[in-house]
Amino acid sequence: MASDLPALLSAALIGTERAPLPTPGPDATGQAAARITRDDSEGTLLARAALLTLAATAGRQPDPPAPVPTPAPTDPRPEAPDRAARHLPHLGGPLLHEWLTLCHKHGYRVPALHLPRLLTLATQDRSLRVPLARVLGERGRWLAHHADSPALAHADAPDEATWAALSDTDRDTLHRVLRALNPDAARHLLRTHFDTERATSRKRLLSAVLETLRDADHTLDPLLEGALDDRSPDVQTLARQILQRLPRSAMNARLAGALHDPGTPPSPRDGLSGGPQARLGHVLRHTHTDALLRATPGGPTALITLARDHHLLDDLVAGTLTHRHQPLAQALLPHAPTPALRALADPTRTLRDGLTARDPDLILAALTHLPTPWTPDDSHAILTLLQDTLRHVDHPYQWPQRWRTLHDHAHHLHPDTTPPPLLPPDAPHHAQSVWHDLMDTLDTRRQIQHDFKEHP
Amino acid sequence: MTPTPDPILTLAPDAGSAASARKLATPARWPDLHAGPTHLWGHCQGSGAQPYLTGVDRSGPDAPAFKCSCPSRKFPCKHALALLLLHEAHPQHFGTDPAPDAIRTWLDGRAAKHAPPDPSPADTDPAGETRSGPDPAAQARRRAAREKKVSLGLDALQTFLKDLVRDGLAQAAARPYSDWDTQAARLVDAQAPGAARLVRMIPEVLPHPDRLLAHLARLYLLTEAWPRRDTLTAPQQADLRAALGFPLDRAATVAAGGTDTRWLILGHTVSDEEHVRTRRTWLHEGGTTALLLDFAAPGWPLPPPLPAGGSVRARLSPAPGTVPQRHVLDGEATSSAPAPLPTPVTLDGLLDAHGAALALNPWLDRTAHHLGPVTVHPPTRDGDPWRAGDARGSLPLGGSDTARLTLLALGGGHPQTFTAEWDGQRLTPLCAGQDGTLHPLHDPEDEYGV
Repeated sequence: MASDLPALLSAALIGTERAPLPTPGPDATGQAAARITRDDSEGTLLARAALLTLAATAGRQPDPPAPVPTPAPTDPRPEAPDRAARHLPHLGGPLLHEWLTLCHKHGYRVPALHLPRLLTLATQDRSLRVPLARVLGERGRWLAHHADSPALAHADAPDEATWAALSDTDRDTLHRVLRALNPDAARHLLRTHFDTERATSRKRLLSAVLETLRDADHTLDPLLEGALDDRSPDVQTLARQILQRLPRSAMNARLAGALHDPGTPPSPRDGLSGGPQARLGHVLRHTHTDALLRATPGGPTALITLARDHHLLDDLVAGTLTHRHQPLAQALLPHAPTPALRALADPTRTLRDGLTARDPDLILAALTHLPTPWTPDDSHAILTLLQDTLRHVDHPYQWPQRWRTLHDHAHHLHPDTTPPPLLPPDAPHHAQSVWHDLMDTLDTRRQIQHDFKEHP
Repeated sequence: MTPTPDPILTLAPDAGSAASARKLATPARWPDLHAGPTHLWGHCQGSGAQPYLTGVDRSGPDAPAFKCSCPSRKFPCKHALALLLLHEAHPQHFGTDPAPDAIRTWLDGRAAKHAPPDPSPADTDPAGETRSGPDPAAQARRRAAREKKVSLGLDALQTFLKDLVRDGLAQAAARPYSDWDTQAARLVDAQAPGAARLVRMIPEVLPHPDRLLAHLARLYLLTEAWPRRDTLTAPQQADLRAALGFPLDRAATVAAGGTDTRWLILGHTVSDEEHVRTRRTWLHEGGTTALLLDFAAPGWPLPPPLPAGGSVRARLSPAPGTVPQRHVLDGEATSSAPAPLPTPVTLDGLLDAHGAALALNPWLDRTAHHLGPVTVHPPTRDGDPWRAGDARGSLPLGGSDTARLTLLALGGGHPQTFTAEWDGQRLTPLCAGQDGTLHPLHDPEDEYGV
C-alpha cells in the first residue's frame, strides 16, 4: 500500500466533513497526489485515492511466502492407465465400485487428476470410502488430509491427537478403512480407544467389526467379553452378536456347554434367559454351528434329533442360515425344505431349479450364496429370464417386485455375458428403456474390464 | 471446433439431458454410425419401433447444429449429444456411408443459408460502398443524445460519491440496499451499464474499507474522465467507453482486421451477475493473450465453449483500446494441432504484467497468465486463504474447492504450472499444466445451471 493511503483511508472513513485532508507525503506518489486538487475536499480525496489505489495495485508485490506444505510421499503403485481412467468422470454407484475394485486388483491407484472428485463423492456416499481408500495411494491419502477427508488420510492407526480431533463419523470411517487396509492396525486401534469412546461411537465401532468379521478377530475376544458388561444395551447386543459369530469364542463354548446340560443357570450376559426350553432355543438359534457340532458327538444327525425332540427345529434352521453352515443345511433339508435352506445346501442346483421354475425367490436365495460376478452361463440365463418377464411391462409397477429386486442385482452379471437378442420392436417403452439401460451398463462394464486387462 | 466430451455436455439444455446422453453414448445403441467431413449421422435405437435418425452438422457459424427424428422437445436432444460424444470416444465405430435424404436435405439447406450472398448490383455503387447503410446524420444525433444522457448520469454519480465521502465511508454499510440499487438503476437509465455494474458491486466490498475506497475511486475516475474524453487518445476513449458499458461495434472490430492463427485456450471462467451470465475465455498466441466474452440471459445456455486446454485455429480481431485484451471471434474456430504452452511467468512477472496493463487502462478488471513454477499452499489455519507461492512470495488462490484440490493433487506439494486469472485480489486457476499440456480445472456441471 502506498504510504499515503492509510491516512487517506482514515479520512475517507471518518468523512471530509469531520476529518481534514491528510498532507501528502514526500515520496513520488505523495508528490503526484499533491498535484491533484479539486474544488471540494471530497473530490480531491477521491481523485487522490484513484491515483494511490491504482499505484498500489499496479505496484503490488507478492505477499510474504506461505508455509511450504510437506510434499506427498512417492507412490510405489502406478496410476491407472488413461484408457481405464477415461471412464471415471462418467461413473457412479455400482459401476464406480467396480472400477475401484478393478483398479485395486490390477495394482493401480487413482490418477491424481480424478482424486478430488472421488474424495468429494466419498463424503456423500459412505459405501465408496473403503473401495476408494484401497486405491488412493500415497498421493490420495496426502490429498485427503487437505481435502477435509481426514478419515481417508491414514493407512495405519493414527496418533492420540489425530484420533481425538476426529468426529464420531470420521472415527467410524477410519476404523472401517483400516479394517480393509490394515486389519491388525484396526484391532490395535479398537483395543486402544474402545473403552474411552462415547456409547454412539462404541456402537459404530462394533457394528463395523460385525459387518466385516474375519477369523483373526478372535484376538478381540477379551475386549468383546468386556463389552458384554457395557453400560449401553446396544453395545452389549453387538458384542454378543460378534462373539456368537466367532466359532471359537469363549461365549460360544459356554453356550455349547449349555446344549446338553439342562441345569445350566440363566445368564442374561450371554443372552440365556427364561425357562430351560427358551434357553435351549436360544442356544440352537444363536450359538455358532461349529461350536454346537463340536459339543455334539453324534454330529448333525444327533443335533437335529435333539432340536426336533424339543420342537426347536426352527431355531436350529435359523442358526444354520445365520452362520451359513452348508453341511448342516444339507442335513436339515429333508426336515425343512425351505428355499433359503435349499439355497444354502446347494446354491448351484437351487439356481437351476429356480430358473426352470421361473421362481424369483429361489433364484434370489441361491444367488446369495454364489460368488460374484455370476458365471457367464448363469448370467445369460438370468438375463434371458429377466428379458422375458420384462417383455410386456409398460409401467415400473407392472413388473413384479421380486423381478425388480433381481434386476437391482444386475451389477453382478458377468461382463462377458452373451446378451439375448434385442427386445422385439413392439415391446412397450418402459421395457425398452430398462433393457437398453441394462445393455448399456453391461457394455460399459465390459469396456472397463477390457481397458484394465489391456494393461496387465 | 472439436469439443472434448465434457464441453460437449455443456451443450445440453439441462443436467438430465446430459446424463441421458452419457448413457446413450455407447455403440451398442446405434445400429448405424457414419461421419462425413463436416457432419455425423446415425440411427439410435430408442423406445419406438423405428430407430431415430440423428444428424449433427459441424460446419457453419452456428455449429454444431442438430437434427433428430425423435419427439423430444429439448434441443439439442440426448441423441444428438450422444452422437457427438460417441464420435469423440469411439471414432473407429463410424463408417462413411452417405447421409440419408432427410439429413442430406437438411445439410444442403444449412450450407445454402451460410453461403456468402451474391452482392446485388442494386445495393452497391461502383465504388463498392453500400448504399443502403445507416444515415450518418441520424447516427450522430443518436450518439449525441446518448452522450448527453451519460453525462447527466455520471454527474449524479459523482455527487453521490462525494456525499458518501463527506459523510464518511464508515457510515456506508448502514445505508439500505435500495440506495445502491437506485443509483445503479439511474445509471442503467443513463445508458452507462458498466458504471451501474460497478455500483451494484459496492455491497460486496463494504466489509473491506481499503477495497471500498479503491472501488469508489475507480468509479470517481470514470466520472472525471468522461467530461474530459476529448482530451484522450482514441484507444483511451475506447477504454473509457468499454468501462462505461458502451456496446462494442463487432462489425467494425472485425472489419479492422484480425489474426488468423492457432490459439491455445488457457481456460474460461463463468460468472453470474444480476441479469446476465458471462463467460470469459482466455486464449494465447505468441505474445498476445486474448479475451473472448460470451453472454447469456437468465434461463438461457451460453454458446458452446471452446475446449479449455485445447487449441483452435481462429481469426480473432482485437477490440479498440490501450491494452489489446478483448477480442472478437470472426467466423468459427476449428480444431487444430496442439499449440505450445507460453513460457510461464513468476509471481513477480505476473504482477509486473498486470501493473503495466493497469498503467495503460485503469479500469482493466483482470488479466490471465501461465504461471509457474509455483507451489500450491493449502491453508494451515481456518479462515486463511489458499495460496500459490514461489521463492519471492505468495498470492491468494481463489476458484472452486475442486479446482484448487485438483491443482494440489497434480502438484503433490511440488512446484507446478497452471493458467490463472488475476483480478488484483486473488488468482482464479483455469487449467493445470502437466506434461506439456493443459488440463481444465473447472467443473463442466457449472455451466448447466443457466
